[in-house]
Amino acid sequence: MTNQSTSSLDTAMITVIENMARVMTEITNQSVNEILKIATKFMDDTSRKALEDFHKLYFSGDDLSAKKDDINSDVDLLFEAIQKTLAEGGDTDNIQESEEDKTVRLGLAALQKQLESIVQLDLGMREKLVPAIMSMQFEDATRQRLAHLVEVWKTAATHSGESVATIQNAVHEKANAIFSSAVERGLYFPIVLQEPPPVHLSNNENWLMNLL
Amino acid sequence: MKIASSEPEYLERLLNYTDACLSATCKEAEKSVEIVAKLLDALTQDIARISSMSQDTVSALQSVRDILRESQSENKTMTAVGLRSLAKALSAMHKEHHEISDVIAPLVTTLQFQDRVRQQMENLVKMLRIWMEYRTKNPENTEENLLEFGSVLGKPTTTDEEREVLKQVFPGLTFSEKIDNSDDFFFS
Repeated sequence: MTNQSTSSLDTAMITVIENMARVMTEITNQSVNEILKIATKFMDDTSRKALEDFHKLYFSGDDLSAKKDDINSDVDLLFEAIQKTLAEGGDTDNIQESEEDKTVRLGLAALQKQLESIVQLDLGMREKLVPAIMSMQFEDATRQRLAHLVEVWKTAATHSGESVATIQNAVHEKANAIFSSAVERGLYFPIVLQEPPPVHLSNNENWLMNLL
Repeated sequence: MKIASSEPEYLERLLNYTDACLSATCKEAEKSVEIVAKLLDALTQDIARISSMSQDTVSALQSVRDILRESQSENKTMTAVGLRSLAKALSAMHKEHHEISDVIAPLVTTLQFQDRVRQQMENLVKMLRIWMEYRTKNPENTEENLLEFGSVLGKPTTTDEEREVLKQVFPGLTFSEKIDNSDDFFFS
């Protein structure tokens, strides 16, 4: 069983980790806003507004922003399910995406079209957009990794005092469900599980640059 | 999956993972130099802007852009010291060339933000190590001991935000020494 004194230390430390992650995410967001201030100086009003709206929509911490990470994981799971079913000679027609996921995914596609249209407005716009998109991508990766670290430590602290195998399995289940980048998985497998990472590592952190 | 022999050993693995993950993120943050270089490129290619600048300002902009290009072409790692030198050079430009201050000020601010996040990531790993060590001591569950834990956690802090977080989590926590902001290179 968890020692009561260790438990109060753990509770305090988890709150510190959570709050520090929030502070770092906020600073990173402010940093991107500064980059956007410069990048949008070279754009006309339509492009500037579109880029600012894009950033606001994605990084304001609203439902779409949070949901995007879930969608990325769900698409991976969907892909795995289809592969498994095909390998077993089954029928993939029964594997379906939920209506809610589909709505958000289509929303993402609309955003992609909006960015594409900004690029088409001005042939030189791509060069001007790259720094802004690079910084947004970094913000997105930082936010996700910090949020995932908070979840991993929370899970470990929750199961502290139980058998090591129980703690390790609980954390692994959590990590498997939330890790969305090749960087995270590429480090987690050798360091925590002490085994080589899977050969195919999906990476959802490059989605922004892929839009251009 | 290799199961750890004990809880502390497993937590040590998680700590090492956290360290590696945050280090990788800090390393990627160095790309901000590339972002700054691209923005300066865009600026120096903006004919309308360039034509309204004095020759001194244009030269200053080009020299900073050249420094950035050199650091990238030689694949040098932009260390914290390097970033600070860059920010100082930009800050000096900001003071001398008001025509481009609306571009330079955000550049300097973004480098400052990046430096602060890097420090906080490094310090968070140090705090996690302190937590691991403290857990093994198994202190009695008293308010006094918890406050002492908060105080020890505060030792590696280098930014005001970190201290604010600790004060919220450990009510009554105080810091006898102020954060040294003399190295805060911007606009002072």
